[in-house]
Amino acid sequence: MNQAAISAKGLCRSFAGKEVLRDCTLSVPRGCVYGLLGRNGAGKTTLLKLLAGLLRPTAGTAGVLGLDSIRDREAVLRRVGCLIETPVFYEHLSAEENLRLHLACMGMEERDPGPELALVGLPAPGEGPVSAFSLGMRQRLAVARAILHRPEVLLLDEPMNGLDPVGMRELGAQLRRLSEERGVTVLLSSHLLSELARTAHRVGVLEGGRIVRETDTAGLSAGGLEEYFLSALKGGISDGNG
Amino acid sequence: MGMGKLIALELRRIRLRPYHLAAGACGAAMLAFLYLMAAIPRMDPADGGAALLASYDFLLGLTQLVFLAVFTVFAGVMSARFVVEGYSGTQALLLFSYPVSRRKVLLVKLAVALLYPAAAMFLWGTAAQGVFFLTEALLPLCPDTLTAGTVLWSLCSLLCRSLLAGLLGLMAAGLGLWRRSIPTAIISALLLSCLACQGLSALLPFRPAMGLALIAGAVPAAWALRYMIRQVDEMEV
Repeated sequence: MNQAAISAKGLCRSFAGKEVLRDCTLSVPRGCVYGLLGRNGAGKTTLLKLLAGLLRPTAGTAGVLGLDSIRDREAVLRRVGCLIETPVFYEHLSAEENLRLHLACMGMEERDPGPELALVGLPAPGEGPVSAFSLGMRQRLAVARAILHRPEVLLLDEPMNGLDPVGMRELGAQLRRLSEERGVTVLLSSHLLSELARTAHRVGVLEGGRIVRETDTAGLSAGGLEEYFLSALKGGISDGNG
Repeated sequence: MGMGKLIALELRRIRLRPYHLAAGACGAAMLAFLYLMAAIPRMDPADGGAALLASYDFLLGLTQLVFLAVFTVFAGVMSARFVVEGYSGTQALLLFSYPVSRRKVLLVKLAVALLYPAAAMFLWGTAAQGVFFLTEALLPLCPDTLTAGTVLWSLCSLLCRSLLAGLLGLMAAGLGLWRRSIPTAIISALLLSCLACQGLSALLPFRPAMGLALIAGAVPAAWALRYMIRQVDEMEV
């Protein structure tokens, strides 16, 4: 975990004159599961979009695996798996067809999406269209799509939304396994502190447009993380390790 | 990724079946319209205006203009569905999350949304005219003489009008993307088709008007294409 897989330096982004991110700096080492905490509207989704090259920064740089998210956008997208905002699919296609299409777009037609479907708890989603899926099934399918092309980095925006408690636990364990076994770096935003405490190696609190506190989660309970989060919102910037 | 592969992928993403059916229905309607127009001088020989329909040139020109209006709206609907909707809201997030050139993806979408109606108009138009010419050769409704030149000219003008439908659809797509609005694209297509048909109907007996209309349509269509490429390149989601 010594080389930064995800980095943001002095990142700023405004929308209609309102500054959402202000001098935001973040460094996530390779193989780390990093949890992003913050209030609603703190800029978590904006940060993830900037890292994926879907938005342009007003100032500063965002990079993934040493590549610039804007300049090297296509190279970044090839090595990153994203789940940002509400998952979008081709509604008239089945789950498997959606995944096969994703593989084709990634230039990996030969890969079988079956293992990933099983991995996220959708072993037999059937031939029916995705439009008939529940919110939880859509979320699982979106996670399957994000990990399908074996990305080195995962950018996940509230991936546990709509999942039942078992699903949340399984997804958390899965992300941890991906990081430990394949060295995948994961940046995920979530409001589910108990799951974050279990899943993430490290968490950062985004407040006032920048990361104000970061800490390792080792030995931190859900209650402890909640306290840490609330004190970070009140207290502002402190040192890098809690 | 090559354009051929991108087109194949785009065709997997979309459902063309409803458009195949709609194009077929338009072809059948065109055939029925042709026979109806051809029969008018027989039904009401006293009507001086109906005498115009006694000429193949006029009869086919008029029918093709109606076909142009229908397929321009068809192109507007397809571009609204595949281009404007594709780049609006959350759909764009999906499109932009693939490591493929944005410009290429847009060109592929436009190719499908605009070449399809142009090709459908030409093919169904050729089929409808083919059936009409065949029955005219056996049991003529129109008093005019059917010659090889008439058939050839009808095909040539149908091809020009099919391309014009695609160009007008491209302009409608540009307007729709500008407003990020599906109704804008469809209503623009409707208005553009009215405008084009109005202008071309006045010039119906003047054969070179078709080529000139094609050239005149190509200029704003090229501008619309340039605008859309720039929009998509700079688009944020």
